[in-house]
Amino acid sequence: MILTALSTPSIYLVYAWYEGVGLANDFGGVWWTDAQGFANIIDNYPNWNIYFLSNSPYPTWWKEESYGGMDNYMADYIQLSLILGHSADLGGGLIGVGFGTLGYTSPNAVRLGYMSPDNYGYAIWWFIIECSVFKDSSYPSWLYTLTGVHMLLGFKNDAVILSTDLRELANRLTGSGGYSNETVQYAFFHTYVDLDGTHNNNIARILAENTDVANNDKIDSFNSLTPVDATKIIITCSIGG
Amino acid sequence: MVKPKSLAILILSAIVIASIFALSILSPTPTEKEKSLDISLPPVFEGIYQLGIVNASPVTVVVDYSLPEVPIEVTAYRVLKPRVDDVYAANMAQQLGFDGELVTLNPGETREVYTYINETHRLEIRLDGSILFAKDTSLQLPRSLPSEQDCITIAKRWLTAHNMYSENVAKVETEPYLMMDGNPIAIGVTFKVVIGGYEAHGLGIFVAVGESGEIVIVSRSLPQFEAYSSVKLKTVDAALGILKHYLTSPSPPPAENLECIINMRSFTRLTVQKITLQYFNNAGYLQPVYVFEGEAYDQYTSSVESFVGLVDAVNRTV
Repeated sequence: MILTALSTPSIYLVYAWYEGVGLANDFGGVWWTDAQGFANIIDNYPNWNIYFLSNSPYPTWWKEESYGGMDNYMADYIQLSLILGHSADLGGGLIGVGFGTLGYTSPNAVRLGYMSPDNYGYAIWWFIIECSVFKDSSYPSWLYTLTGVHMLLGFKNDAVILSTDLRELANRLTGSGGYSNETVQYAFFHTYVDLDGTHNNNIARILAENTDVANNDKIDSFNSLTPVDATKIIITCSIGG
Repeated sequence: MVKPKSLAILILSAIVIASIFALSILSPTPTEKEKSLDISLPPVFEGIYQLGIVNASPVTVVVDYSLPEVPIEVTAYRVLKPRVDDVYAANMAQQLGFDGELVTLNPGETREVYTYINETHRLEIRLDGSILFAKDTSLQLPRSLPSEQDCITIAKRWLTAHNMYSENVAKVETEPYLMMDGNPIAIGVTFKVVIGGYEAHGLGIFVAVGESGEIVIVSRSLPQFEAYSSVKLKTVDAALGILKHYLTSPSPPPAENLECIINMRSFTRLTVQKITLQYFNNAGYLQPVYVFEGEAYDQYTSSVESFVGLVDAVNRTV
């Protein structure tokens, strides 16, 4: 399946969906347990498989080939990717996605989805569990990343998290552990924004291609070739203290 | 020669004495001194992590507020967790008048939550007794949203009708809950509670009100609690010093033993406009924290955002 897809990118024959989970290499312990838990819960869902699960992911996995990346073989070969790490202040209000000691990527180098410059990509959702990547001065640059990928899901501000959050997110996405199967949008918001002390001050933010994907995308229900245009939407969720 | 009966009594006595000794080591009763030193309290931010930003500029901190007078010590509380099981969850759903089906577990799964669903809403009863009631609202700009005051009235009326309101509510705040392209889709109303004269961070009721007064989400966390011990407080100055350290370090905070959590780090000047002592709900306890609120200004983007920073207020060194 992999070879077929790689050699014929214009033919979209999906026999299975793939997830990739990365934990920046300066995290360990309970965070790795949580990342593994997320990957396994999704993997147990019908038609989903782990494509990569790494505690030392590289920024090149999300970067376009023309920027020295290899996204066609990694983040843009799969439908769902997730990175948890410290973000990187790139100056001038721009926040990049960090990968621990292995560097970072700025938005300029990332184009995900079937309409990316090389016309190759399968990415549907990218969860970015890092701080302030989508702060007001930074998110406009990340909108250009939406070239077929439906949603980038991250934070406007500094996120405070629990070491069980990723598993809760996976449970909400798949309807496991007693949770009901939620849309991708609300699974993310309900996990990371809540009146529970920890998540009170989080401001979660989603950059989406359109309202249709935000309203309807579920882990087992999405349009692989959603129309891509110059208009994107920004959804922000917070409860404020 | 020792008689068998005497030998048995001797051995039995030895076992009893050894058991008492072992139990005294394994599960010591906290002494008054230990309680006063707070050594049995977990770190206030245990299990919580601040993700942080690498290479953020140091922040200059300006305090435009008189440091508040605080007592030398306050009471810490232990949260009493209810036994949430099938019966508890069913009774709670019934009490709230929610008509829906319980989400069943797949083989081999452990139950993390009790979720009841119907065609439009979901009710989650968490294992700590907190509740989430939600409707997955479609993103559509409302033709009309109620005013903030109307949202408060609508929220309170709904909570009262569903037996979810609390007489301990001491403060109500509103702000947008869900926004699309900067336009509010639902207004959030937070009903805050006070414990021992101090606001409780992470306890209370949150209600979001959407178009035509529709209830979009309700989150309620109002556990029972009991006084646990007295804890000595850090000075406000000491807490401010910790906050400044977190705001000037170029590295993200360490994963262990967090003393401070903040809602933003990527800016250049903080003007502290309010400092309060509050209780923070985490790890089974309500412990005091200093809450610093103010304006975060970023010289590189000329933007101003609301800042909130929490610092552990317990003096754990005495």
